[in-house]
Amino acid sequence: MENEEMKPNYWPSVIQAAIIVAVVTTVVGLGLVYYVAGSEPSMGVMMISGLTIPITCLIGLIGGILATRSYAKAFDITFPIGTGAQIGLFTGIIAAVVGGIIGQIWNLVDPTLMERFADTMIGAFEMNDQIPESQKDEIITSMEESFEDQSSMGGVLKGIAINAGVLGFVNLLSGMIGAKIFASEEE
Amino acid sequence: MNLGLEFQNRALYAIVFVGSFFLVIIALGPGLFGNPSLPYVSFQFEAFHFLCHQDPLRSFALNNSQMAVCARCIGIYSAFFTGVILMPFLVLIKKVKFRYYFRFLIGTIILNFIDVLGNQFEFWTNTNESRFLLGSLFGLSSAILLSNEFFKKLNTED
Repeated sequence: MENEEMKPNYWPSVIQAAIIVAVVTTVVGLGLVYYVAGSEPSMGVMMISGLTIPITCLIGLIGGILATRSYAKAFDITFPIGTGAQIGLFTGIIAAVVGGIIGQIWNLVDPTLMERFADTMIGAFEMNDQIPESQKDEIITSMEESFEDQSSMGGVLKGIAINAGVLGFVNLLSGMIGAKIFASEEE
Repeated sequence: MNLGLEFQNRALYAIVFVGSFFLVIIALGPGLFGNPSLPYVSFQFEAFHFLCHQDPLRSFALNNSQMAVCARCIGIYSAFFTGVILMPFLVLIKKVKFRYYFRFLIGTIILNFIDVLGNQFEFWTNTNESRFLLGSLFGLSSAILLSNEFFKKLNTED
């Protein structure tokens, strides 16, 4: 109980974990975008299994675990899962915002990257002869509109908001698990 | 009516319940709404691009549309939500110490890791079904690890 009353600041742990998650996930994401953008359009490009190593799955989820572990170890304290949930939620939201900012900065470094990526994806889809022409035109138009929308300021903010919601929630879950593992009293 | 259960952290449980439900709905992808789409152009895919490789070869399809997450991830999210629903029943059936739940969680992580490595080094070929099953074990173990935080079995001997 004494531990809970002191309530040391958890923000350094949150920010540290959020930055780790944002950097790792953005670097992996950019690697994937470069791979697709630099390839010849084909359905094989869209089946990017050669590059996507399964371990990239769920990297975004570890933020809550990292932050709660760091907080509990730094102050040698116990705390309830509600606090772990809060820590995880903030970690996920900040990771999404930082990831979005890194992505925008990278757009300044390589302004044509997303355009090349969109061209390859659309080109690959155009070559797919398994889809009827009538449907194909409709879907390609929708893809072009979506890519355009995603590159506008509104689209970028919408993307960050969606990511903040999902990353925030999954890290809220991992934050509770982290609190249970690293910061709960022995049962 | 006394069901022999004490329900605690109610607000947090409600958040986890509702949030997990929507997580599964989004993870099922645009096909759930009969809207065929491709990766990177629907909000469902955008929502999970930080969390999953979204490889079409390793994903299930719904209404001929790829789900927004791979087979292993849909297993994790759907089993986690199932675990959240089952929490009170699990606690009612038997009180299990945290360390056993923790060992179960670690065991499922190791199983998934071995499965990924075995497939990567071509010792065996896993399938979407096997990935789903192992992901489900991990999702379920994560949920039940938290069950004692939300529900406690009352001592009914008094």
